[in-house]
Amino acid sequence: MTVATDILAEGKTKILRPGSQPDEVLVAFKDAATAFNGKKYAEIPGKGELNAQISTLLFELLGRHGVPTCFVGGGSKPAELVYKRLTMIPLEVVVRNYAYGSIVKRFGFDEGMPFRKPLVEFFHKTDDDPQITEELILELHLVPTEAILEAIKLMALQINELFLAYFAARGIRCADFKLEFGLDKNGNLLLGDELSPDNFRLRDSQTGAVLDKDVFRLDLADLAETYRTLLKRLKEDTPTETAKKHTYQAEVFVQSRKNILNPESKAILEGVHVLGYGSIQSLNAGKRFVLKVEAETLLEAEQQARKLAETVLSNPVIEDFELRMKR
Amino acid sequence: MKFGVVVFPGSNCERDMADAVRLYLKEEAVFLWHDDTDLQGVDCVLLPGGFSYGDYLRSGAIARFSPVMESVKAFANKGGPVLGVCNGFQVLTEAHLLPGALMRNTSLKFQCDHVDVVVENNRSLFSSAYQAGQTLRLPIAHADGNFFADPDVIRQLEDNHQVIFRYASDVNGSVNRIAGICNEKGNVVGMMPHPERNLWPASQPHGANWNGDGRGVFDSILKAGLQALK
Repeated sequence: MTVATDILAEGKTKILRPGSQPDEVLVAFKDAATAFNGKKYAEIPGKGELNAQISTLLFELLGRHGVPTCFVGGGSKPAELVYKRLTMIPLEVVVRNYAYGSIVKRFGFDEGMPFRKPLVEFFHKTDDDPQITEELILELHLVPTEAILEAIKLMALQINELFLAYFAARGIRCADFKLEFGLDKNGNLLLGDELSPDNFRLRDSQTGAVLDKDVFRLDLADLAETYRTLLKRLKEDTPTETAKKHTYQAEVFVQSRKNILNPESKAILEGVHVLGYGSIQSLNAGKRFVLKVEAETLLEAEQQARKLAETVLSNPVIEDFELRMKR
Repeated sequence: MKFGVVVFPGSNCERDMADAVRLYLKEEAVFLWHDDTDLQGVDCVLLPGGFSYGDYLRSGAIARFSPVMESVKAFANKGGPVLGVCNGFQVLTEAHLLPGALMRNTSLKFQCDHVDVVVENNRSLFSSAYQAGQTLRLPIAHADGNFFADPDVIRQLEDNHQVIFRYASDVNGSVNRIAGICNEKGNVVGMMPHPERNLWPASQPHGANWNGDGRGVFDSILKAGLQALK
């Protein structure tokens, strides 16, 4: 039996223990299902193992596409995974493609209605997980910087595109899912938590059959059996998805590097002061490039735009750039 | 010896450069069009001054992507002598054949003048005909000649004696008054002053400025070329 002091943290469905490496943790998925904020509870043999396996498939999918995640590999038992140790950000990031669950109750959408654009919602991880605005997140210092909040949103949308395509190729509609993020010891943003059907709403594209934890919430079918079927479908080889191209907008701002004197900016600032704008303390003139990028995913478009900004649009000897992506 | 003068859209000193080879050195010069990849078997590549691609984006930034530059890079990496003057120097830094970057002059003006330039290192392919420490009178004509690199790069350039030419006094804000540098191997040189514009001593009102001080750059490369042929 594991000594209690060995446990770093225990939640409703997972137990965290120290890993073999100092910057790793061992995550054991429990055979427990909960719903309605813990009001409904059941022991479901085999569920922990299924969640570990499905999470592994999805973490590996994201890893193949360059999304940084906490996932290291499998543990010594089938229901265990090894993660990088993260300082978790206390936010639940929900991405919605179709209206199900709480958003239907809150705003009266027809259930199953597709949204024109994916929605990203934030919930504060406290007792009753209230929805929270971006301004409040910054006000409460739930993330270290505004740039990290921007990065979370962008990463959530990138992950959504990958999931949409992945599930669609297997005849499954990815209606919504929840993500959690954390920072590693170097301050890098990584996807954390788990990628199991506990956190997703998945529907069969043809029949509309429920393939996620809603079967337990609404007593529709046996949860372990549903998860087992899902795992089987995910493992099946699928014909390579026909790549669909989208157009993304990117903005690249190029400025001279900090602590490099830009003679042009200095001359403008001097002129500004002569004109009586003594309150202007500093001025850095730069360039803005607006790009339209054709790519299959936002992630791919972002990588293309970043490469262009690094190699052509800016000269790293004297300039820095900032990249903003828009859908 | 056969010299190739690269011509980008917007180059405007390619004739002066070819004349320096043909009339002064009495050697063969061919023009290498930016779209070509064939260097026609030249022994030395010259990148002339001008405003390649209108100086759009940054001076020299677009010229770097011309097809001919791939061949020039390969030529330089094999040890072939490459000289970039003015815009040619800017192209060489953008192409990463030389370190650093050329920023807007601190004066913010296009500076067209005759300046004193000191030969810092006379052991390079393009400076061996000069005396070390010799002061040259050379024309300059540029808006972006303000050489910049991070302090450790500058230290490296100075320690390796890669600074070939230095302005006698501050001209455009360049770090350490750097006017011309070479790469680590010494076969690629970039300089802002125009040696090809001062080859013929003249007795004009501005005679003191036209004393033939630019000749040494071309004499040096010919000397090195002849030695290599021996």
